[in-house]
Amino acid sequence: MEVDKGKGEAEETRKVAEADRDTVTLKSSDGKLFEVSKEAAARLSTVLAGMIAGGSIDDNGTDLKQIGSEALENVVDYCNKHANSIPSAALISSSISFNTAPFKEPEEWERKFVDRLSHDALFDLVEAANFLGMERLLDVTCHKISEMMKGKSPDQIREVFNIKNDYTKEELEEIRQELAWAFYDD
Amino acid sequence: MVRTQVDQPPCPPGGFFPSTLDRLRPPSRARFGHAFHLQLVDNFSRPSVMDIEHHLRWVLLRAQVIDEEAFGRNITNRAMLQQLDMLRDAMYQGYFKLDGFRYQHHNKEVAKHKIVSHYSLLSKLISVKDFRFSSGTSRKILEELQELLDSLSSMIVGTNELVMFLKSFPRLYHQPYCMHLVFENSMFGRQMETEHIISFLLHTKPHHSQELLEDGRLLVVVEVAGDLTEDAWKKCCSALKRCAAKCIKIIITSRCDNISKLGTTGVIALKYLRNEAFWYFFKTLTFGTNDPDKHPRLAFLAMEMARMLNGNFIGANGTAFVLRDNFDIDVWCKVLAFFCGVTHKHISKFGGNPSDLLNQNRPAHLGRMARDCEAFMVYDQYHRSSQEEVPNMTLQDVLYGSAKTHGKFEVLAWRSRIPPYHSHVYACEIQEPKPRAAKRKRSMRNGVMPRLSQGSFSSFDSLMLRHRPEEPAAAAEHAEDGGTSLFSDLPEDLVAEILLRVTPPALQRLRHRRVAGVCRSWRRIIADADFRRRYAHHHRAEITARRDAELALREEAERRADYTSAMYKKSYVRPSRDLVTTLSRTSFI
Repeated sequence: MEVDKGKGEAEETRKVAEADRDTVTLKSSDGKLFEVSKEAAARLSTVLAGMIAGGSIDDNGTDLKQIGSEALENVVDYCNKHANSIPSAALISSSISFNTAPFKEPEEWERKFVDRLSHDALFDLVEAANFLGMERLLDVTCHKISEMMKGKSPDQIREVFNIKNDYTKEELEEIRQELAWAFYDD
Repeated sequence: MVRTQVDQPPCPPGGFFPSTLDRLRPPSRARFGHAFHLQLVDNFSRPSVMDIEHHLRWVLLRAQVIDEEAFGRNITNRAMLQQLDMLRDAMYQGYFKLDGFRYQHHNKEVAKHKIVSHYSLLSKLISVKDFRFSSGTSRKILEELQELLDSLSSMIVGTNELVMFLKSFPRLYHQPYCMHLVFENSMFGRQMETEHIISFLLHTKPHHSQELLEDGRLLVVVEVAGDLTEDAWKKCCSALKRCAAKCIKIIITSRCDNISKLGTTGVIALKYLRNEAFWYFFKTLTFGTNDPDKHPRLAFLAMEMARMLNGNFIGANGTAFVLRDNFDIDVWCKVLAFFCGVTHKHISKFGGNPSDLLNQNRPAHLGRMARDCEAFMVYDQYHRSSQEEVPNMTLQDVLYGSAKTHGKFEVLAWRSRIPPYHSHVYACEIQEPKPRAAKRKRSMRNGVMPRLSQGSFSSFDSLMLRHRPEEPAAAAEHAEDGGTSLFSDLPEDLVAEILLRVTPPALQRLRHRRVAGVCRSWRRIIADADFRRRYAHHHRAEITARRDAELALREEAERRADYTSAMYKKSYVRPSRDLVTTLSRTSFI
């Protein structure tokens, strides 16, 4: 229901926004157009905010050549959902000092949002969020990926993410012998 | 008829042993005279597994008699309800162990003779070490069963007065509604909770008692889907008070804990059934009037399925429906193989059992039995009342049938058979198998950067810009690896962002050896001083907790080894890495 509701409301906001000419049109690498409200874009993405402020927004679709249509669709979906959810204190504070504050736990809807993504889509979204400077989205997606590593051995992690083992046997043994660095040694 | 009927107590077999003889108190000693005689002969030989098994069966049946008798009565005594709950728990556990042992035993025979054609397939899927009983020696099993038997029989002896008082409580009329409750097992094992709610509903304030005779009583059931603030709740209450009804009872249901402060009476927490109780529930549901003992092979398969379902109520209902309709070992084997496939895939991909995620109402990836190439995902689940429209397609159609749909849609997962006929609906999606491109395109890295205006950037942007120049080198290095790894497309600064969020292990320091052991670039990333500084900063809460735990450990070590005490005292002042090293070595000695 949430998915449908999100879409329905997204469409509604889109309509309202169109009437006010208050949207930004974004163009994916494969030429598809997406609209997102200016307010949400400026609030969530530092890059888009900069572009809006600098007047470099193209009415016929701002080219985002780095982002595929699937990832961009997810980005727009996230913006719309974000607009519909009540921003909690956690969200506000995390956007102020991203680099220093401990990470805030994702909200329930954000968890669901990333849970339904395939691995490919999730990694695409990380890059898109990074490119657009969407701190919170980057936070949420990175959190999801780090959760996938929970309780897994190196072999399992490699299997899940299809990472090639580029160590020799001797090196692996060396790592096993080596003591892990302490987290609080400074 | 779902509950298994107790027709005749089976005759306890020969070979009674003294410890249980007096506890069991068979109804008529004369009837078991023969058995008694045998016991004298075998008195000094060890009781065999078979004996214990039969005794356990007998005791469990007695417990079942008490349970079913109690369930049909309206019991108001709290302590009695508690005692019954304990007895019920012990009974479920007993059946779980006994069935596990019996069907496991049978399964070994099956394997030996290779009776089942599907068996070889199954044995590949289910690793033998998962089995509960295969690891233990026969002696261990014997001890376990004996222990269980002792505790159960002493418990039954303790219920003497309970059984006596039970008679004084009025029998519940088995009107159609109650029959549903009993037969459909809708209130399975929840007698205490049921009685609690009934007494809440019947309770009136003394000076309001005349209102019982009038109309205008109102029962409101509020289901809270998300968060409910106290303000919103107060508004809701005042709106209700303005209604015409004089006597209002409100029941609030929710998945969240925070509704507990809203109610005026205690909270009834409904937990998921424990493994043992769930097995009993699933068994009665799947076998119905069939006796599981006559189909030990099927029972074995059902037990494995119950293990995979992991307490999922909707899954149990759906599966039981399919199994009951196809009472055939081939179909059951197929279903179990399907379960195994889905669970293993889910665990290796997402690191958890799909049933657990469904229980927490989180999206889960399931599969389809007929078309295993299609990905079937459940996003969300919710209730629908009987007035609302429900989808025609059922979950069984999708999972086991060949329903041809794609894209996002809703399915009916379960429909309650008792008023108010709620339906449980899943929002889900079937993704068509798409041919995966062999290589994901990432050529646009060096494409046009959007023009950035000055001044409005947070620290994050500077981070992004700072790392940008390093990318081509990193990408080139990954390209050499030649893999299609998900991570190989990510620039190193993003990999660092992800690794930063890997939580430190609670009490073991192995995690980072694990991360470092994945591949070279990860090891390089986490060895970076800047990364370490940020990591320590972000996870300081966990790290403090760990440090405390380590201090406690150190105290323990100190108590054990006096000779190191001087060194450890120093460590209280300032914990340093060297001391941790010493500790971990000494604690292994």
